[in-house]
Amino acid sequence: MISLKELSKQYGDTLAVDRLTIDVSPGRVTGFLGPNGAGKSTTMRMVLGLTHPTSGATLVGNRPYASLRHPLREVGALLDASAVHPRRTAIAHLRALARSNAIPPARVTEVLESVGLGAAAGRMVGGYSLGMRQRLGVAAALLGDPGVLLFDEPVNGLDPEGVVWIRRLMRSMAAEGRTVLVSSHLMSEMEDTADQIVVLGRGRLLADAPVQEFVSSAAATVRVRTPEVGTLRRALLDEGFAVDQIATEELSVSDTGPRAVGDVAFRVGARVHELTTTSATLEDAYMRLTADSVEFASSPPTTVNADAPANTDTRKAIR
Amino acid sequence: MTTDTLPTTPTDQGTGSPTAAAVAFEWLKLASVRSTWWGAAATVATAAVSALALGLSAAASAESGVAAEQAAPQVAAMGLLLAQLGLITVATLAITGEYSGGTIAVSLQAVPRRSLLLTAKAVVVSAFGAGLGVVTSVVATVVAVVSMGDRGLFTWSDAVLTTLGIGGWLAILGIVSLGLGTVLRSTAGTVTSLLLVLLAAPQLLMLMPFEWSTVVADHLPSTAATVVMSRVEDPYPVATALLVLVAWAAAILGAGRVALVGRDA
Repeated sequence: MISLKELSKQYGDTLAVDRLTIDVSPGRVTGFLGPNGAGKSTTMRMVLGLTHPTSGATLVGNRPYASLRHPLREVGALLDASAVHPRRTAIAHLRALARSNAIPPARVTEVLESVGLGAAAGRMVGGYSLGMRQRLGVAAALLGDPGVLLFDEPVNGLDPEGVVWIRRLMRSMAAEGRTVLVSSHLMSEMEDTADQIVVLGRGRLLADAPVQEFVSSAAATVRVRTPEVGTLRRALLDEGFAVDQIATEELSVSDTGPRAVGDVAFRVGARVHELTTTSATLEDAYMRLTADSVEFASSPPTTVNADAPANTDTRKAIR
Repeated sequence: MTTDTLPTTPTDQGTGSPTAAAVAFEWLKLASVRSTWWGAAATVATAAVSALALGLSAAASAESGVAAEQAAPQVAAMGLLLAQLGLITVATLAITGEYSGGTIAVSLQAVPRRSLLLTAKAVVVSAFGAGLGVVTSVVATVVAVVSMGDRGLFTWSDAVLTTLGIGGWLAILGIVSLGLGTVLRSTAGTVTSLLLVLLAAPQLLMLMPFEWSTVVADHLPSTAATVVMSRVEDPYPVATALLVLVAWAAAILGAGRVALVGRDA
Protein backbone atom coordinates (compact mmCIF):
# COMPACT_ATOMS: atom_id res chain seq x y z
CA MET A 1 0.00 0.00 0.00
CA ILE A 2 1.33 3.38 -1.02
CA SER A 3 -0.34 6.52 0.32
CA LEU A 4 0.17 10.04 -0.92
CA LYS A 5 -1.23 12.72 1.34
CA GLU A 6 -1.68 16.23 -0.04
CA LEU A 7 1.65 15.75 -1.80
CA SER A 8 3.13 18.82 -3.51
CA LYS A 9 6.45 19.65 -5.10
CA GLN A 10 7.41 23.07 -6.35
CA TYR A 11 10.42 23.79 -8.57
CA GLY A 12 10.83 27.54 -8.74
CA ASP A 13 7.60 28.82 -10.24
CA THR A 14 6.52 25.42 -11.49
CA LEU A 15 4.22 23.29 -9.41
CA ALA A 16 5.36 19.84 -10.56
CA VAL A 17 3.03 17.98 -8.22
CA ASP A 18 -0.09 19.66 -6.89
CA ARG A 19 -1.78 18.36 -3.71
CA LEU A 20 -1.95 14.70 -4.73
CA THR A 21 -3.89 12.42 -2.45
CA ILE A 22 -3.94 8.83 -3.65
CA ASP A 23 -3.96 5.36 -2.11
CA VAL A 24 -2.38 2.69 -4.27
CA SER A 25 -3.84 -0.62 -3.14
CA PRO A 26 -2.25 -4.06 -3.00
CA GLY A 27 -3.36 -6.97 -5.17
CA ARG A 28 -3.72 -5.02 -8.37
CA VAL A 29 -1.68 -3.21 -10.98
CA THR A 30 -2.15 0.53 -10.83
CA GLY A 31 -1.31 2.35 -14.05
CA PHE A 32 0.13 5.78 -13.42
CA LEU A 33 -0.55 7.82 -16.52
CA GLY A 34 0.03 11.28 -17.78
CA PRO A 35 1.77 13.23 -20.52
CA ASN A 36 5.48 13.95 -20.26
CA GLY A 37 6.10 16.44 -17.49
CA ALA A 38 2.89 15.57 -15.65
CA GLY A 39 4.81 14.78 -12.45
CA LYS A 40 4.80 10.98 -12.53
CA SER A 41 8.54 10.50 -11.99
CA THR A 42 8.71 13.26 -9.40
CA THR A 43 5.91 11.57 -7.48
CA MET A 44 7.66 8.20 -7.60
CA ARG A 45 10.92 9.78 -6.46
CA MET A 46 9.11 11.36 -3.53
CA VAL A 47 7.67 7.96 -2.54
CA LEU A 48 11.25 6.65 -2.42
CA GLY A 49 12.53 9.63 -0.43
CA LEU A 50 14.83 10.76 -3.24
CA THR A 51 13.07 14.08 -3.72
CA HIS A 52 11.82 16.07 -0.75
CA PRO A 53 8.17 17.14 -1.01
CA THR A 54 7.48 20.85 -0.66
CA SER A 55 4.50 19.83 1.44
CA GLY A 56 2.51 16.71 2.16
CA ALA A 57 3.77 13.20 2.76
CA THR A 58 4.22 9.78 1.20
CA LEU A 59 3.86 6.58 3.14
CA VAL A 60 4.70 3.01 2.24
CA GLY A 61 2.66 0.66 4.41
CA ASN A 62 1.96 3.54 6.81
CA ARG A 63 5.61 4.48 7.21
CA PRO A 64 7.86 7.01 5.49
CA TYR A 65 10.35 5.27 3.19
CA ALA A 66 13.37 6.65 5.05
CA SER A 67 12.28 4.96 8.27
CA LEU A 68 12.24 1.45 6.77
CA ARG A 69 14.93 -0.72 8.28
CA HIS A 70 15.42 -2.87 5.18
CA PRO A 71 13.75 -0.79 2.46
CA LEU A 72 14.71 -3.09 -0.43
CA ARG A 73 12.80 -5.90 1.28
CA GLU A 74 9.64 -3.80 1.35
CA VAL A 75 9.85 -1.66 -1.78
CA GLY A 76 11.41 -2.56 -5.12
CA ALA A 77 11.76 0.16 -7.70
CA LEU A 78 12.97 0.51 -11.24
CA LEU A 79 13.36 4.21 -12.02
CA ASP A 80 16.22 4.54 -14.47
CA ALA A 81 17.68 1.38 -15.94
CA SER A 82 20.91 3.11 -16.92
CA ALA A 83 21.71 3.93 -13.28
CA VAL A 84 24.35 1.24 -12.89
CA HIS A 85 28.09 1.83 -12.95
CA PRO A 86 29.12 0.77 -16.48
CA ARG A 87 32.39 -0.77 -15.22
CA ARG A 88 30.73 -2.95 -12.63
CA THR A 89 29.42 -6.44 -13.34
CA ALA A 90 25.74 -7.17 -12.89
CA ILE A 91 26.45 -9.69 -10.16
CA ALA A 92 28.68 -7.28 -8.22
CA HIS A 93 25.99 -4.60 -8.48
CA LEU A 94 23.34 -6.89 -7.03
CA ARG A 95 25.63 -8.40 -4.40
CA ALA A 96 26.35 -4.94 -3.00
CA LEU A 97 22.63 -4.12 -2.91
CA ALA A 98 21.87 -7.45 -1.25
CA ARG A 99 24.49 -6.85 1.42
CA SER A 100 23.09 -3.41 2.23
CA ASN A 101 19.70 -4.86 3.16
CA ALA A 102 20.79 -8.19 4.68
CA ILE A 103 19.44 -10.19 1.75
CA PRO A 104 21.05 -13.64 1.40
CA PRO A 105 23.66 -13.73 -1.42
CA ALA A 106 21.99 -16.77 -2.97
CA ARG A 107 19.07 -14.55 -3.85
CA VAL A 108 21.32 -12.63 -6.30
CA THR A 109 21.81 -15.58 -8.66
CA GLU A 110 18.17 -16.46 -8.24
CA VAL A 111 16.86 -13.10 -9.50
CA LEU A 112 19.48 -12.92 -12.25
CA GLU A 113 18.28 -16.31 -13.53
CA SER A 114 14.66 -15.29 -13.23
CA VAL A 115 15.13 -12.20 -15.44
CA GLY A 116 17.16 -14.17 -17.97
CA LEU A 117 20.55 -12.64 -17.21
CA GLY A 118 22.12 -15.73 -15.67
CA ALA A 119 24.63 -16.13 -18.51
CA ALA A 120 25.52 -12.43 -18.62
CA ALA A 121 25.84 -11.97 -14.84
CA GLY A 122 29.62 -11.69 -14.89
CA ARG A 123 29.76 -9.11 -17.66
CA MET A 124 30.25 -5.38 -17.20
CA VAL A 125 26.94 -3.54 -17.36
CA GLY A 126 28.44 -1.02 -19.81
CA GLY A 127 28.27 -3.72 -22.48
CA TYR A 128 24.58 -4.42 -21.88
CA SER A 129 21.85 -3.47 -24.31
CA LEU A 130 19.08 -1.21 -23.05
CA GLY A 131 16.79 -4.23 -22.82
CA MET A 132 19.33 -6.10 -20.70
CA ARG A 133 19.68 -3.09 -18.40
CA GLN A 134 15.91 -3.01 -17.98
CA ARG A 135 16.04 -6.66 -17.00
CA LEU A 136 18.84 -5.94 -14.53
CA GLY A 137 16.77 -3.09 -13.11
CA VAL A 138 13.85 -5.48 -12.67
CA ALA A 139 16.20 -7.98 -10.98
CA ALA A 140 17.30 -5.26 -8.55
CA ALA A 141 13.68 -4.34 -7.83
CA LEU A 142 12.79 -7.98 -7.11
CA LEU A 143 15.96 -8.64 -5.08
CA GLY A 144 14.37 -8.15 -1.68
CA ASP A 145 11.10 -9.89 -2.65
CA PRO A 146 9.24 -6.69 -1.74
CA GLY A 147 5.52 -6.27 -1.23
CA VAL A 148 5.50 -2.95 -3.07
CA LEU A 149 6.83 -2.46 -6.60
CA LEU A 150 7.33 0.77 -8.53
CA PHE A 151 8.21 0.78 -12.21
CA ASP A 152 8.85 4.01 -14.09
CA GLU A 153 8.26 3.44 -17.83
CA PRO A 154 9.48 -0.16 -17.63
CA VAL A 155 8.92 -1.16 -21.25
CA ASN A 156 11.24 1.51 -22.67
CA GLY A 157 13.84 -0.21 -24.81
CA LEU A 158 12.36 -3.68 -24.45
CA ASP A 159 11.75 -5.88 -27.47
CA PRO A 160 8.22 -7.30 -27.97
CA GLU A 161 9.13 -10.45 -26.08
CA GLY A 162 10.41 -8.32 -23.22
CA VAL A 163 7.24 -6.24 -23.20
CA VAL A 164 5.11 -9.36 -22.85
CA TRP A 165 7.44 -10.63 -20.16
CA ILE A 166 7.22 -7.50 -18.02
CA ARG A 167 3.47 -7.30 -18.47
CA ARG A 168 3.08 -10.87 -17.21
CA LEU A 169 5.49 -10.18 -14.39
CA MET A 170 3.46 -7.23 -13.17
CA ARG A 171 0.21 -9.22 -13.42
CA SER A 172 1.67 -12.10 -11.44
CA MET A 173 3.15 -9.79 -8.82
CA ALA A 174 -0.26 -8.20 -8.29
CA ALA A 175 -1.91 -11.63 -8.23
CA GLU A 176 0.40 -12.54 -5.35
CA GLY A 177 -1.08 -9.64 -3.41
CA ARG A 178 1.68 -7.10 -3.99
CA THR A 179 1.17 -3.42 -4.64
CA VAL A 180 2.28 -2.61 -8.19
CA LEU A 181 2.50 0.97 -9.44
CA VAL A 182 3.65 1.36 -13.03
CA SER A 183 3.99 4.65 -14.85
CA SER A 184 3.60 5.02 -18.57
CA HIS A 185 2.57 7.49 -21.20
CA LEU A 186 1.52 4.59 -23.43
CA MET A 187 -2.14 3.82 -23.04
CA SER A 188 -1.99 0.66 -25.11
CA GLU A 189 0.35 -0.76 -22.49
CA MET A 190 -2.05 -0.13 -19.63
CA GLU A 191 -5.19 -1.43 -21.25
CA ASP A 192 -4.08 -5.04 -20.86
CA THR A 193 -2.04 -4.64 -17.71
CA ALA A 194 -3.64 -2.28 -15.24
CA ASP A 195 -6.64 -2.81 -13.00
CA GLN A 196 -6.72 0.72 -11.70
CA ILE A 197 -5.84 3.91 -13.55
CA VAL A 198 -4.45 7.06 -11.99
CA VAL A 199 -4.07 9.97 -14.41
CA LEU A 200 -1.95 13.04 -13.74
CA GLY A 201 -1.94 16.24 -15.73
CA ARG A 202 0.30 19.18 -14.79
CA GLY A 203 0.84 17.64 -11.40
CA ARG A 204 -2.85 17.37 -10.60
CA LEU A 205 -4.93 14.25 -10.18
CA LEU A 206 -7.27 13.99 -13.16
CA ALA A 207 -8.68 10.54 -12.54
CA ASP A 208 -8.36 7.62 -10.15
CA ALA A 209 -10.69 4.82 -11.19
CA PRO A 210 -10.88 1.15 -12.16
CA VAL A 211 -9.97 0.61 -15.82
CA GLN A 212 -13.54 -0.31 -16.87
CA GLU A 213 -15.04 2.70 -15.18
CA PHE A 214 -12.38 4.91 -16.68
CA VAL A 215 -13.06 3.66 -20.20
CA SER A 216 -16.82 3.97 -19.92
CA SER A 217 -16.44 7.51 -18.63
CA ALA A 218 -15.34 8.39 -22.13
CA ALA A 219 -18.63 8.07 -23.96
CA ALA A 220 -18.72 6.51 -27.38
CA THR A 221 -19.02 8.08 -30.79
CA VAL A 222 -22.09 7.22 -32.88
CA ARG A 223 -22.15 7.19 -36.68
CA VAL A 224 -25.48 7.58 -38.36
CA ARG A 225 -26.32 7.20 -42.06
CA THR A 226 -29.46 8.97 -43.26
CA PRO A 227 -30.80 10.52 -46.51
CA GLU A 228 -32.19 13.43 -44.40
CA VAL A 229 -28.74 14.62 -43.35
CA GLY A 230 -29.63 18.29 -43.09
CA THR A 231 -32.73 17.74 -40.97
CA LEU A 232 -31.04 15.37 -38.55
CA ARG A 233 -27.94 17.52 -38.29
CA ARG A 234 -29.95 20.61 -37.33
CA ALA A 235 -32.02 18.63 -34.83
CA LEU A 236 -28.94 17.16 -33.19
CA LEU A 237 -27.21 20.52 -33.02
CA ASP A 238 -30.34 22.02 -31.47
CA GLU A 239 -30.16 19.34 -28.79
CA GLY A 240 -26.57 20.34 -28.06
CA PHE A 241 -24.77 17.33 -29.60
CA ALA A 242 -21.33 17.65 -31.19
CA VAL A 243 -21.96 16.71 -34.82
CA ASP A 244 -19.61 16.23 -37.76
CA GLN A 245 -20.73 15.50 -41.29
CA ILE A 246 -18.27 12.85 -42.45
CA ALA A 247 -19.91 11.89 -45.78
CA THR A 248 -22.82 12.99 -47.97
CA GLU A 249 -25.28 10.89 -46.03
CA GLU A 250 -23.32 10.27 -42.87
CA LEU A 251 -22.93 12.09 -39.55
CA SER A 252 -20.65 11.43 -36.62
CA VAL A 253 -21.99 12.33 -33.17
CA SER A 254 -19.51 12.29 -30.30
CA ASP A 255 -20.01 11.75 -26.60
CA THR A 256 -23.28 9.91 -26.83
CA GLY A 257 -24.93 6.55 -27.41
CA PRO A 258 -27.08 5.02 -30.21
CA ARG A 259 -30.28 5.39 -28.19
CA ALA A 260 -30.08 9.21 -27.94
CA VAL A 261 -29.26 9.63 -31.62
CA GLY A 262 -31.99 7.15 -32.69
CA ASP A 263 -34.60 8.97 -30.59
CA VAL A 264 -33.77 12.34 -32.18
CA ALA A 265 -33.98 10.80 -35.65
CA PHE A 266 -37.39 9.30 -34.90
CA ARG A 267 -38.75 12.60 -33.58
CA VAL A 268 -37.76 14.59 -36.70
CA GLY A 269 -38.75 11.74 -39.05
CA ALA A 270 -35.28 11.12 -40.45
CA ARG A 271 -34.86 7.66 -41.95
CA VAL A 272 -31.94 5.85 -40.41
CA HIS A 273 -30.10 3.45 -42.71
CA GLU A 274 -27.27 2.67 -40.38
CA LEU A 275 -26.44 3.38 -36.76
CA THR A 276 -23.06 2.25 -35.41
CA THR A 277 -21.22 2.83 -32.15
CA THR A 278 -17.48 3.20 -31.94
CA SER A 279 -16.73 2.13 -28.40
CA ALA A 280 -14.27 4.21 -26.44
CA THR A 281 -10.79 2.95 -25.76
CA LEU A 282 -8.54 3.77 -22.87
CA GLU A 283 -6.66 5.93 -25.33
CA ASP A 284 -9.76 8.07 -25.99
CA ALA A 285 -10.48 8.47 -22.32
CA TYR A 286 -6.90 9.44 -21.65
CA MET A 287 -6.65 11.91 -24.52
CA ARG A 288 -9.84 13.57 -23.42
CA LEU A 289 -8.61 13.95 -19.87
CA THR A 290 -5.14 15.18 -20.64
CA ALA A 291 -5.88 17.35 -23.65
CA ASP A 292 -5.91 20.48 -21.53
CA SER A 293 -2.98 19.59 -19.37
CA VAL A 294 -0.20 18.93 -21.81
CA GLU A 295 2.77 20.92 -20.65
CA PHE A 296 4.89 20.76 -23.78
CA ALA A 297 2.30 21.21 -26.48
CA SER A 298 3.43 21.06 -30.08
CA SER A 299 2.42 23.86 -32.37
CA PRO A 300 -0.28 23.09 -34.93
CA PRO A 301 1.14 21.52 -38.11
CA THR A 302 0.26 24.58 -40.20
CA THR A 303 2.69 26.85 -38.36
CA VAL A 304 6.06 25.21 -38.71
CA ASN A 305 8.11 26.02 -35.64
CA ALA A 306 11.62 24.66 -35.45
CA ASP A 307 11.76 25.15 -31.69
CA ALA A 308 8.66 23.14 -30.93
CA PRO A 309 9.43 19.81 -29.29
CA ALA A 310 8.89 17.05 -31.82
CA ASN A 311 7.06 14.75 -29.50
CA THR A 312 4.46 12.54 -31.06
CA ASP A 313 2.83 11.71 -27.76
CA THR A 314 2.04 15.27 -26.89
CA ARG A 315 0.96 15.98 -30.44
CA LYS A 316 -1.55 13.19 -30.23
CA ALA A 317 -2.73 14.45 -26.89
CA ILE A 318 -3.36 18.01 -28.06
CA ARG A 319 -5.36 16.98 -31.10
CA MET B 1 15.12 -18.81 -19.90
CA THR B 2 12.80 -16.39 -18.19
CA THR B 3 10.19 -17.14 -15.62
CA ASP B 4 7.41 -14.97 -14.38
CA THR B 5 7.48 -15.63 -10.69
CA LEU B 6 10.34 -15.97 -8.31
CA PRO B 7 10.78 -19.35 -6.72
CA THR B 8 11.70 -18.47 -3.16
CA THR B 9 11.70 -15.60 -0.77
CA PRO B 10 14.65 -14.31 1.21
CA THR B 11 14.72 -15.40 4.79
CA ASP B 12 14.81 -12.91 7.59
CA GLN B 13 18.44 -13.58 8.30
CA GLY B 14 21.20 -11.05 8.78
CA THR B 15 20.16 -8.86 11.66
CA GLY B 16 23.51 -7.07 11.72
CA SER B 17 23.68 -3.38 12.46
CA PRO B 18 22.55 -0.99 9.73
CA THR B 19 25.90 0.78 9.94
CA ALA B 20 27.85 -2.42 9.28
CA ALA B 21 25.56 -3.24 6.35
CA ALA B 22 25.96 0.25 4.88
CA VAL B 23 29.76 0.10 5.26
CA ALA B 24 29.86 -3.32 3.59
CA PHE B 25 27.65 -1.96 0.79
CA GLU B 26 30.00 0.95 0.17
CA TRP B 27 33.06 -1.27 0.31
CA LEU B 28 31.61 -3.74 -2.20
CA LYS B 29 30.82 -0.87 -4.56
CA LEU B 30 34.27 0.69 -4.22
CA ALA B 31 36.12 -2.60 -4.63
CA SER B 32 34.08 -3.79 -7.61
CA VAL B 33 35.18 -1.12 -10.07
CA ARG B 34 38.56 -1.24 -11.71
CA SER B 35 39.20 2.51 -11.44
CA THR B 36 39.61 2.12 -7.68
CA TRP B 37 42.53 -0.24 -8.15
CA TRP B 38 44.02 1.85 -10.94
CA GLY B 39 43.95 4.86 -8.62
CA ALA B 40 45.61 2.87 -5.86
CA ALA B 41 48.24 1.51 -8.23
CA ALA B 42 48.91 5.03 -9.53
CA THR B 43 49.54 6.27 -6.00
CA VAL B 44 51.95 3.45 -5.15
CA ALA B 45 53.76 3.70 -8.49
CA THR B 46 54.14 7.49 -8.34
CA ALA B 47 55.50 7.32 -4.80
CA ALA B 48 57.90 4.53 -5.78
CA VAL B 49 59.21 6.32 -8.87
CA SER B 50 59.57 9.52 -6.94
CA ALA B 51 61.44 7.73 -4.13
CA LEU B 52 63.71 6.17 -6.75
CA ALA B 53 64.49 9.53 -8.35
CA LEU B 54 65.04 11.30 -5.04
CA GLY B 55 67.04 8.37 -3.69
CA LEU B 56 69.36 8.18 -6.69
CA SER B 57 69.80 11.93 -6.65
CA ALA B 58 70.58 11.96 -2.93
CA ALA B 59 73.05 9.13 -3.39
CA ALA B 60 74.74 10.96 -6.26
CA SER B 61 74.94 14.21 -4.30
CA ALA B 62 76.35 12.42 -1.29
CA GLU B 63 78.97 10.75 -3.49
CA SER B 64 80.19 14.14 -4.70
CA GLY B 65 80.23 15.31 -1.13
CA VAL B 66 77.44 17.85 -1.51
CA ALA B 67 74.59 16.77 0.71
CA ALA B 68 74.33 15.11 4.06
CA GLU B 69 72.83 11.67 4.37
CA GLN B 70 69.06 11.41 4.41
CA ALA B 71 66.60 9.13 6.12
CA ALA B 72 65.06 6.70 3.64
CA PRO B 73 61.49 6.93 5.07
CA GLN B 74 61.63 10.72 4.74
CA VAL B 75 62.63 10.39 1.11
CA ALA B 76 59.71 8.01 0.65
CA ALA B 77 57.28 10.60 2.08
CA MET B 78 58.45 13.36 -0.26
CA GLY B 79 56.76 11.85 -3.26
CA LEU B 80 53.37 11.90 -1.59
CA LEU B 81 52.50 15.38 -2.81
CA LEU B 82 52.01 13.98 -6.31
CA ALA B 83 51.17 10.39 -5.42
CA GLN B 84 48.13 11.43 -3.38
CA LEU B 85 46.35 12.36 -6.61
CA GLY B 86 45.40 8.71 -7.14
CA LEU B 87 43.67 8.54 -3.76
CA ILE B 88 41.97 11.90 -4.33
CA THR B 89 40.43 10.55 -7.53
CA VAL B 90 39.24 7.31 -5.93
CA ALA B 91 37.70 9.05 -2.92
CA THR B 92 36.07 11.75 -5.06
CA LEU B 93 34.58 9.20 -7.46
CA ALA B 94 33.06 7.35 -4.50
CA ILE B 95 30.42 10.09 -4.48
CA THR B 96 30.68 12.07 -7.74
CA GLY B 97 30.60 8.84 -9.76
CA GLU B 98 27.21 8.16 -8.19
CA TYR B 99 25.89 11.50 -9.37
CA SER B 100 27.28 11.31 -12.90
CA GLY B 101 25.90 7.80 -13.39
CA GLY B 102 22.61 8.35 -11.58
CA THR B 103 23.38 5.50 -9.18
CA ILE B 104 22.91 7.80 -6.18
CA ALA B 105 19.18 7.09 -6.54
CA VAL B 106 19.83 3.36 -6.27
CA SER B 107 22.19 3.79 -3.30
CA LEU B 108 19.67 5.96 -1.45
CA GLN B 109 16.93 3.42 -2.09
CA ALA B 110 19.10 0.82 -0.38
CA VAL B 111 20.26 3.16 2.41
CA PRO B 112 17.67 5.94 2.68
CA ARG B 113 19.20 7.50 5.78
CA ARG B 114 21.49 9.95 4.04
CA SER B 115 23.85 10.73 6.87
CA LEU B 116 24.31 6.99 7.38
CA LEU B 117 25.19 6.58 3.70
CA LEU B 118 27.73 9.39 3.91
CA THR B 119 29.20 8.04 7.14
CA ALA B 120 29.58 4.61 5.53
CA LYS B 121 31.33 6.17 2.55
CA ALA B 122 33.62 8.14 4.88
CA VAL B 123 34.54 4.99 6.81
CA VAL B 124 35.31 3.14 3.58
CA VAL B 125 37.36 5.86 1.84
CA SER B 126 39.33 6.68 4.99
CA ALA B 127 40.10 3.01 5.65
CA PHE B 128 41.06 2.63 2.01
CA GLY B 129 43.26 5.73 2.26
CA ALA B 130 44.92 4.46 5.44
CA GLY B 131 45.60 1.05 3.91
CA LEU B 132 46.87 2.58 0.71
CA GLY B 133 49.10 4.95 2.71
CA VAL B 134 50.70 2.05 4.58
CA VAL B 135 51.34 0.07 1.39
CA THR B 136 52.67 3.16 -0.39
CA SER B 137 54.99 3.98 2.48
CA VAL B 138 56.41 0.46 2.70
CA VAL B 139 56.99 0.20 -1.05
CA ALA B 140 58.49 3.68 -1.36
CA THR B 141 60.71 3.19 1.69
CA VAL B 142 62.10 -0.06 0.29
CA VAL B 143 62.77 1.70 -3.03
CA ALA B 144 64.45 4.59 -1.20
CA VAL B 145 66.63 2.27 0.89
CA VAL B 146 67.73 0.33 -2.16
CA SER B 147 68.32 3.35 -4.39
CA MET B 148 70.30 5.28 -1.75
CA GLY B 149 72.51 2.36 -0.92
CA ASP B 150 74.60 2.89 2.20
CA ARG B 151 73.89 6.65 2.07
CA GLY B 152 70.34 6.17 3.31
CA LEU B 153 69.67 6.31 7.02
CA PHE B 154 67.13 3.81 8.23
CA THR B 155 65.66 3.21 11.65
CA TRP B 156 62.60 1.10 12.35
CA SER B 157 60.99 3.72 14.55
CA ASP B 158 61.42 6.32 11.82
CA ALA B 159 59.91 3.97 9.25
CA VAL B 160 56.92 3.09 11.43
CA LEU B 161 56.17 6.70 12.34
CA THR B 162 56.42 7.85 8.72
CA THR B 163 54.15 5.00 7.63
CA LEU B 164 51.59 5.96 10.27
CA GLY B 165 51.84 9.58 9.15
CA ILE B 166 51.25 8.75 5.50
CA GLY B 167 48.41 6.37 6.34
CA GLY B 168 46.80 8.97 8.59
CA TRP B 169 47.11 11.74 6.01
CA LEU B 170 45.63 9.66 3.20
CA ALA B 171 42.75 8.65 5.49
CA ILE B 172 42.03 12.34 6.17
CA LEU B 173 42.48 13.22 2.49
CA GLY B 174 39.95 10.55 1.55
CA ILE B 175 37.36 12.16 3.82
CA VAL B 176 38.18 15.67 2.55
CA SER B 177 37.78 14.52 -1.08
CA LEU B 178 34.52 12.73 -0.31
CA GLY B 179 33.09 15.71 1.56
CA LEU B 180 33.96 18.20 -1.16
CA GLY B 181 32.68 15.82 -3.85
CA THR B 182 29.37 15.58 -2.00
CA VAL B 183 29.04 19.36 -1.99
CA LEU B 184 30.15 19.91 -5.61
CA ARG B 185 28.75 16.68 -7.17
CA SER B 186 31.32 16.96 -9.95
CA THR B 187 34.50 14.94 -10.39
CA ALA B 188 36.38 17.57 -12.38
CA GLY B 189 35.31 20.38 -10.07
CA THR B 190 36.30 18.49 -6.93
CA VAL B 191 39.68 17.27 -8.16
CA THR B 192 40.58 20.70 -9.54
CA SER B 193 39.58 22.45 -6.32
CA LEU B 194 41.60 20.01 -4.25
CA LEU B 195 44.68 20.45 -6.44
CA LEU B 196 44.39 24.21 -6.04
CA VAL B 197 44.05 24.02 -2.26
CA LEU B 198 46.68 21.33 -1.75
CA LEU B 199 49.34 22.31 -4.28
CA ALA B 200 48.83 25.87 -5.47
CA ALA B 201 47.42 27.69 -2.43
CA PRO B 202 50.40 27.15 -0.08
CA GLN B 203 52.83 28.48 -2.71
CA LEU B 204 50.70 31.48 -3.63
CA LEU B 205 50.00 32.47 -0.04
CA MET B 206 53.67 32.25 0.85
CA LEU B 207 54.46 34.74 -1.93
CA MET B 208 52.15 37.34 -0.44
CA PRO B 209 53.75 39.89 1.88
CA PHE B 210 51.00 39.83 4.52
CA GLU B 211 51.11 38.34 7.96
CA TRP B 212 47.71 36.75 7.60
CA SER B 213 48.67 34.96 4.41
CA THR B 214 51.40 33.10 6.27
CA VAL B 215 48.97 32.19 9.04
CA VAL B 216 46.49 30.85 6.48
CA ALA B 217 49.22 28.97 4.60
CA ASP B 218 50.41 27.39 7.86
CA HIS B 219 46.97 26.02 8.51
CA LEU B 220 46.29 24.60 5.08
CA PRO B 221 45.97 20.80 4.90
CA SER B 222 49.23 20.40 2.91
CA THR B 223 51.30 22.18 5.54
CA ALA B 224 49.81 20.14 8.37
CA ALA B 225 50.17 16.95 6.33
CA THR B 226 53.87 17.65 5.77
CA VAL B 227 54.37 18.11 9.51
CA VAL B 228 52.58 14.81 10.20
CA MET B 229 54.51 12.84 7.57
CA SER B 230 57.98 14.34 8.10
CA ARG B 231 57.67 15.06 11.81
CA VAL B 232 59.62 18.28 11.20
CA GLU B 233 57.77 20.37 13.76
CA ASP B 234 57.60 23.60 11.84
CA PRO B 235 55.40 25.69 12.20
CA TYR B 236 53.80 23.58 14.94
CA PRO B 237 54.10 20.19 16.62
CA VAL B 238 52.64 16.96 15.17
CA ALA B 239 49.73 16.99 17.65
CA THR B 240 48.64 20.44 16.45
CA ALA B 241 49.04 19.33 12.84
CA LEU B 242 46.77 16.36 13.47
CA LEU B 243 44.23 18.68 15.06
CA VAL B 244 44.33 20.98 12.01
CA LEU B 245 43.77 18.01 9.69
CA VAL B 246 40.89 16.62 11.72
CA ALA B 247 39.28 20.06 11.78
CA TRP B 248 39.50 20.30 7.98
CA ALA B 249 38.04 16.82 7.52
CA ALA B 250 35.22 17.47 9.99
CA ALA B 251 34.31 20.81 8.43
CA ILE B 252 34.23 19.55 4.84
CA LEU B 253 32.45 16.30 5.67
CA GLY B 254 29.95 18.34 7.68
CA ALA B 255 29.31 20.55 4.67
CA GLY B 256 28.85 17.40 2.57
CA ARG B 257 26.36 16.05 5.08
CA VAL B 258 24.30 19.26 4.97
CA ALA B 259 24.30 19.14 1.16
CA LEU B 260 23.36 15.46 0.94
CA VAL B 261 20.60 15.61 3.55
CA GLY B 262 19.10 18.89 2.39
CA ARG B 263 19.08 18.59 -1.37
CA ASP B 264 17.07 16.37 -3.66
CA ALA B 265 19.10 13.42 -4.84
